[in-house]
Amino acid sequence: MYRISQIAVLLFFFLSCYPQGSVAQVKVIRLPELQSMMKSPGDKPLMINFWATWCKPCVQELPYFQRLADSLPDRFELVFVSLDFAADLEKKVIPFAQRRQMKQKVFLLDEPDYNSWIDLVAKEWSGAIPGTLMLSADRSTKVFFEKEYHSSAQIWLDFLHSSNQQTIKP
Amino acid sequence: MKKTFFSALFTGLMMISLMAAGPGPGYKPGDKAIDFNLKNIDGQMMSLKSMESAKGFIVVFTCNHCPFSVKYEDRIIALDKKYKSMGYPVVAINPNDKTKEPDDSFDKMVVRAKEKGFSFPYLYDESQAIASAFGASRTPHVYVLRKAGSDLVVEYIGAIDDNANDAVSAKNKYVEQAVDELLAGKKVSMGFTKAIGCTIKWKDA
Repeated sequence: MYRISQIAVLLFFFLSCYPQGSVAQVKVIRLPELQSMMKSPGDKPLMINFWATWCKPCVQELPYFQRLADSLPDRFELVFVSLDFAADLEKKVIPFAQRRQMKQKVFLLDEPDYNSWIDLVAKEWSGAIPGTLMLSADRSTKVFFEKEYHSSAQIWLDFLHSSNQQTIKP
Repeated sequence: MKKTFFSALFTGLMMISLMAAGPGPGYKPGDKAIDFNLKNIDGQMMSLKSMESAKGFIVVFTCNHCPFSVKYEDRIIALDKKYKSMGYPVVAINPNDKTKEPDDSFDKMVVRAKEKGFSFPYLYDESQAIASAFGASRTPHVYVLRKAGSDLVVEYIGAIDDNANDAVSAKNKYVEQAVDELLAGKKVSMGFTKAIGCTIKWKDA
């Protein structure tokens, strides 16, 4: 009896340790952190994908972003910003990010008053998700795509389009 | 010759853009909205014109499947309970393509309305022409319309309030504020807001 409980404890210990090596971390952020992400120049262009676990088209397009980022790691940085409710962090968002092996940075934006900040991300965004913001390396240009993607190639084309806008701009 | 070619091309492009489903540029506050004739969950066709005693309408683009729409269901029912008798009834419209989202079929609308006890019409915009004309992009997406003679003037576009997850924590109840101002004969002070929501599931063009 004692041995069984010992094994159970060991098993529990191993199971709880197991995923931690590859575990996706999800950090809760507020608007100022998102804004600083959008403003601080980096060495690569930045792609911010706005999604949520409850949003079917978002969940469907996630692998296309992951695959593109995996195959072209030098061309841009990818960040996922979840708009799930903060109360669902432990129950839904972290397990989802682990299951989907989201290696990229995953944040949860805890700002329930949507009208106060959607325009600050992009004037052309109505608030529907999925939506993706593409920023140049120096963060001087940004283009928002309020649409769902059905392939990595579509994302790549929009990325090239957004980079083009950068060269057109004086 | 060249001119006719280009005008033909232009007309062709116009036709294509009119045929394609998707969000139109839509209305701004102050614009005149079109009336519609859509199938209600009771099987009858319904237009706004038929509700003669109304002073205006709270038109809500919503659906069955979207978690944000579900979060707001009780609040939409409450809006109808509060404002129908004052002349601003709720008219809900589901614009989603049922092949993209089977949970938003007409049959499922009937089931959901019964489960929740919807006190208002729940119409099916099967062709998506109305959502497109209004410029709706997400669910839930509200348009408050005021009757002015035979016109329907758009007075408010946007969210129901500023907290989707928790009705009690909402500080600004945008729709209530807009309708209260209209009932008091005032101008709507906040005519447009944005919110996170589910995309409308458009048919493939």
